[in-house]
Parts: sequence; structure tokens; C-alpha cells
Amino acid sequence: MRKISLLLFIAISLSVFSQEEFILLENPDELSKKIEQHSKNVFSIKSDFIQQKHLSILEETLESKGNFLFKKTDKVKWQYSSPFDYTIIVANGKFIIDNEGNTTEFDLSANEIFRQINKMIVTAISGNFIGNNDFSVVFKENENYYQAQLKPVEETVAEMLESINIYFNKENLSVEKVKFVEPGSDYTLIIFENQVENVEIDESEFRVEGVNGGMSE
Amino acid sequence: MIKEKDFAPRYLLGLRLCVKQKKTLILFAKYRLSRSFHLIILGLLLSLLPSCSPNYLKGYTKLENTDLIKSAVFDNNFKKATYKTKLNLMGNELSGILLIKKTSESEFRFVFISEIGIKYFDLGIKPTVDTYLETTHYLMTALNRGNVEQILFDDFNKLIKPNSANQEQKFFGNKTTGIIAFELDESNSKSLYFMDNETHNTEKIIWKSKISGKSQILLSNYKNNIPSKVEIENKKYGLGITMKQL
Repeated sequence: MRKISLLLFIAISLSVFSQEEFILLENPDELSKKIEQHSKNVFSIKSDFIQQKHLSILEETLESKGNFLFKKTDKVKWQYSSPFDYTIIVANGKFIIDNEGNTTEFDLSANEIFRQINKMIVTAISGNFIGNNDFSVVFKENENYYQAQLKPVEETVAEMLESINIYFNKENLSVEKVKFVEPGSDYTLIIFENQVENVEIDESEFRVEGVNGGMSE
Repeated sequence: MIKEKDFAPRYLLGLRLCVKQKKTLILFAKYRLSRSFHLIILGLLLSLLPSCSPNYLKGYTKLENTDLIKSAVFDNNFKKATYKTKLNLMGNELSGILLIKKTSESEFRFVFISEIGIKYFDLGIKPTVDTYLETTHYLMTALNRGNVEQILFDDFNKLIKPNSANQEQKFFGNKTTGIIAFELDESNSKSLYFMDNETHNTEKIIWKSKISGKSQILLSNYKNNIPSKVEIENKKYGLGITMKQL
């Protein structure tokens, strides 16, 4: 009886493991074309998100939540509401941070790190990484997801990020999770929930009061 | 020919600390004021000299034969805490979450990450009786400059440093406020730890070092023996950290 229980446990474990395990996709070009086509048809995304920062050695996960907006071609808004209020807006070449009412603005072109971070985020969320020379891409799949594993080519980016793993829903090709893996196995996982594509998003969402003495776009 | 110094009283000639004050007395000497008047003025000036340096222990009296024990801000019972944190370095601000975790019997980790999950630093400290053992698990290139790393280690060590009965320390008490001050010799400089005698909570730490200059840590709003607010200031280096518990 004990042996049967053990075998059952192993079988269940293997089954769970196989669901999580990704294998190389046999025909990546086909998926690549599908993703490219889907990306072309997505003009905006509105979603809730959960961000989990995994610190592997410390066995800690720091979780924050908020909502996310994306509007083509490169407007992004991350609005954190828990455990703190914090907003990042990237629009029209500017990077605006609203940290509990204190707003600061950076010029993307003048700040290479911010530019790279934004490029990675937009690339990951929009699925618009096909033909992008900044990353090498490998496609994988498991039962539930297609996974595009992006490895940065730029050395300064590679110092911070080992890879960006984008998880596509197999049915509708929407991006459900993005995992930013750091060298040394820590990672940040962003899970998108209640996602709606091609919804009308007003331009005012990408403005913050009080930047440079007035409204800033 | 009569020189200016001939008018100055002899007891002023060797005094080089306060040039302005010396010049004032020389002026008086020119008017040939009486020797007793010089003495009164000199006495007044000397009484003002100690106020040139801040007196952190004003109102405190030295305590002898006491069994008081300085407790660490994050002591042996501490497990972990997270703080919304702003780090200012020479006018540049980094913000995010600081996780402080006791990872073993002797080691604490201080991990600072941005709101979007980018890691700024991951520092490990094992405090010992006299000093501490440091491990840099990660430090972002932008922060890896000058003495920043060393100052961060020194600052954080002040929060976890255990009491040592063997370490030379002096005790001072303020009857009005009920605050006990511990003066400790640490790394070739003296540090003052101010602790509430009733709650045993550390409220302020002051020290001076070659690299960070005059520095202080203010701790307030204790909840479950953990300060909800921590403000660290290293004036000379322009490095400040403000932490609010999440």
C-alpha cells in the first residue's frame, strides 16, 4: 500500500512537472508569423497585473499589484496601488514617475538604461519582438502556453537581465505572463489578469499633473 | 616701532583657535584697557568655545555601576521587515522596497529593489563584537563608486550591532526625558546610541567617521519592536536613506 502511494505521488509530481516544463517548438516560424500578425492587430491593452519579485536565496516573494495600459505605438502606464502608490508613464519620448505625489521626468533619449528598460517592456507586452535585433529569440511550448525566450544582445542589458520569458495564451495569443530573469536566478514575474485588447484609452491617461510646472504629455 | 602684537596681552599670543576673537581682544588692547577687563573678556570667549561643537549629551549625567544593556534595533528575535525606501546619493534619488531579513543566527541581508523589480543591491552583514563581516551579493554598477558600498555597510551595521559586555562603553542618563545614551568605541570613532529607558527602543544613533563624516540615524514609530520610520544621514558624502515600513 505504501509503495502504491509512493508511485502515485511520483506519477502526480511528474504530471505537474510536465505541465510546467517547456520543450522547443518544432515549427517556430509558423508561431512567429502568428504572433507578428496578432501584434499588428493589437492597438491597445488594458489589464490588471500582479508583480512578484522572487528572491531565490532569501526564499522571499515581494508582491505588488496595480493596473496596466498600453497604447500603440509606445505609450505605457504602470499604476501600482498595492502595497504603495507608484506610477510609471512612458510616452512621447518621456519617462515620468509619480512616487506618492512626487513627480519626476526623464528624457528617454538622454537615459540609455530607461530607454532599454522601456524597449524591453513594450517589446514583451506587445509581442513585437519579431525581427528585433536587440534580442535572440527561442520559442518553446507546454500544455498551456507558448513561450518566447528573449536573450538580450546588448552587454549592458545582459548584465541586468539573463532573459525575458513571454508566455502567450495558446488559444488567443494574448500575453498572460512576462518573466524577467536576472543573472543568479532571481526573477520578476508579471501576471496579467482581466486583460482587454483594443479598448479605447484616452490620451489623458498618459499625462501627469505637476511635471515641469504643468500638465505633461 | 611698536608692532600690533606688542599691544596684545601675552596670554592671547598662543591662542590660535579663534582668530576673530583674538583680533577683537587685540583691538581692546590698543585702547589700553585694564588687565582685569581682558581677563573678563577672555573668560567669556572661552566659555563660548565649547558651543562651537555640538553637545549631544547636554542634560545627561554619567551613570556608574549600571547593568544597562544596549539592545540592537533589529535584534535576535527579528525575522524580517519591508520598507518603502528612498535613497539619495549626491542629489540623485533611487526608490523602491528595502527588505531586511535575518537569514541565519548571525547574518542579516539588506536587499533594495526598485518598484518595478530591478535590484539595486543585496548586502549581507554578520555583526561581530568589534566589527562585522560583509558580503556583497550584488551591487548595481551605478552604486559601485567611491565609498558608497562601505558607507551602506557601516550604516546598516549600526542597526543590527549586538551589545557586548566586553566592549568599553560609557552610560549617560537624562532624568527629564528618560533617555539613556551609550557611548561606544567603534572602528576608531565614538558612537552614541540613544535608547528610551522604558521601552528599550533605540531612538537615535550618532557617530562620525572619516569616510561618511558626521552621520546619524533617527528611528521612530515603533510597532512590535520594529521602527516604522528610519532616517539615515551621512552629511559629508551626501548619502541619505529614508525608510517607511510597509
